[in-house]
Amino acid sequence: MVTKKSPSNEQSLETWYQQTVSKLYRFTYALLQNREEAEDITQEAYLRCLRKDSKEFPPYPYLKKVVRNLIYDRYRHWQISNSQNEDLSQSNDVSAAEENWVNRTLIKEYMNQLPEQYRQVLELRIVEGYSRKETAERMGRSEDAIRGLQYRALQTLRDIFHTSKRTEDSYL
Amino acid sequence: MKLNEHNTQFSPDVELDEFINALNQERRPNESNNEDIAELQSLTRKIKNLRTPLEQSEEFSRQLFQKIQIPPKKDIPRKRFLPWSALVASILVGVFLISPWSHPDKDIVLAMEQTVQKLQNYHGTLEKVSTNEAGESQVLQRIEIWSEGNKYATRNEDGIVTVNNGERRWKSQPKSKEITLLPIYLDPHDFDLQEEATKAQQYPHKIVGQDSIAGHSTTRLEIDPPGGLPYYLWIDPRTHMPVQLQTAMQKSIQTTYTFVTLETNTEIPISTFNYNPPVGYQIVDQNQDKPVTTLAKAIEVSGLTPRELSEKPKRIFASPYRIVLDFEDTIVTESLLTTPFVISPLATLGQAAGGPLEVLPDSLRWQQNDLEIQVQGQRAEELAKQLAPDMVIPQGNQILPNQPSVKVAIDMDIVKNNQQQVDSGSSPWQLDPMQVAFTFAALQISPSGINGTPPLDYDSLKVSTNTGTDAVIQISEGPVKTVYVKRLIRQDQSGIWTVVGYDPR
Repeated sequence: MVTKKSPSNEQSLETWYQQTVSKLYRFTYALLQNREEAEDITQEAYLRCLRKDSKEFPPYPYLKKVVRNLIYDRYRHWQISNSQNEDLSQSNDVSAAEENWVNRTLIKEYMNQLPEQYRQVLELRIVEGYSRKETAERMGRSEDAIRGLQYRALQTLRDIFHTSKRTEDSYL
Repeated sequence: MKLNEHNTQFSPDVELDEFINALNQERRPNESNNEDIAELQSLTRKIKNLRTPLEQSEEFSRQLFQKIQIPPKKDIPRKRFLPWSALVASILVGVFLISPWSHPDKDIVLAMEQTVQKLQNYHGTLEKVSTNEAGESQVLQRIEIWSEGNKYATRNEDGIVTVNNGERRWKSQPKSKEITLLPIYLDPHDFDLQEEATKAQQYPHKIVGQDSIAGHSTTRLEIDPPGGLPYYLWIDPRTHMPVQLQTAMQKSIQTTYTFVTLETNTEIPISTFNYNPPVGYQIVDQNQDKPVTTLAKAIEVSGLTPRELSEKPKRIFASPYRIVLDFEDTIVTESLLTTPFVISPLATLGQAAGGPLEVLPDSLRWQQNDLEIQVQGQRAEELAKQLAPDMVIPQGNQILPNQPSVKVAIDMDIVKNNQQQVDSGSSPWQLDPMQVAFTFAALQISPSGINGTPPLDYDSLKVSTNTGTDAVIQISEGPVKTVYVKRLIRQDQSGIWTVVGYDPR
């Protein structure tokens, strides 16, 4: 166990930090998909953990929990929209990479159920990150059409999510 | 529904669009107060998770570590006067601000070079787009790349895999079930990250803008190589990785290489670089040249007396009557002259060692004494001029000394139509100035059309000038003595030739 008040405190702090920072950032980034927010939340999580009057540096699952709480504090609606993944995410046995992989697989599966134009606009605009203009050029449509298309595509994807959730629930 | 800065309402699709823009640009997005839109925003973040995970920047890790090292402050009353440490710090900041290292372009280029040098491996998709002087762009290819140390593998859209594992190089073609063993030396890489990062650091450069490339905010750098034309490199300031390279307009073509996806320090399966031909594949060996340790050994194996360069090659290969000097970015091949020198009809015509010089993109070829010399690669011109100092490479759009005595009337609508036909794959002969001149001359003899055997021997034609934009073809028989052709629509390899005049015999 790494302790805060050991003689080689600085070294311990650095070891604990180096062992956790990359995966914690990846975990935070996977949830937020945004650098500014991910850096902000990761930093806040470390500072909160170190402010606690504990003798030990908290383990990685605890840091994850702090990140999740910080996000939920900031975005209240997340607690509702992410509840379906909650059971999985709370488990300490599931690594961030595995959790991420499961979520990605689920999204991919649902996106494959979308009509071709919907799937394409979400891939270009959100996954690939092209601007509306670039997406419009690639799909041979106007920028306004892309804005409407991506909105309808997201609504349809949400419906697929909800339908799948209801189907899963009915089997439980 | 949300209000924008003018206090007018955003429609849901506009609000969502703004949210996507912010995520794409790594900005903090505005969360909607509307439950319905907020749910779609949350879904957008989940979809975004399908892209390559982004690593935290080293700068963020370092700054955060510094912050957590400082113990939390107790309620200490603030001092009214500037403490000595702060004064010293402010002086140091002042010194730093006027120092040459304070310029952001130096920081980002240095950070990029260091990041790339530390790179263990990468895996990405590279898109190559060609743009001509008219501003028309064309996606040439999209390849998937795996790179680790000196190992390099690519897969193109047709599924053809090319691998160089440092010991051998081969091409695997699943469709024809064939593996072709290739020379290990002739392996130029498009947009080599290490090489481009090093060049950017070495050459004068400046930041000239910020652009969104493949959904990432990037910093555009203009690099000015001494004696060369300036080109652009785009760097992702979060990862410090180069993501796009745009060459200068050379021979009427500008090429843009973009990593549309890029994962660094990832897990690349070892099998990617293993030479393990699948059962049932035919092996074709095109690799006759063997590595040798010294030039003396190469001379012994080849039986040639090669022309030498001032720079020492990185590797040397030899086979009977042939020596290959590998300078990594450029390859010089010297072989015994055995066949007549035939110039590609698509090449521009220059002069070297008192004879013709074939000029193709990234390749120069000529005869010198009893050798045929070919120089291929980025520094083809520089190294070729060391071997043949009298070399003349023609420039496009120059006024030729001889002009046609009879000018041919040109209907530009017809020429444009012809170019479009060639672009769509029809009548490719119009890309060859010799064939255009031959057809013209033959029609002068048979104005009603060519049926059966042409009324002219094709071997009677010879290109006397080809600058890439203008060409002159001499004909030794028939009523036409000289044909003058020009690339009127596009002055690059995809531009058709049109007869603009001729000299009757």
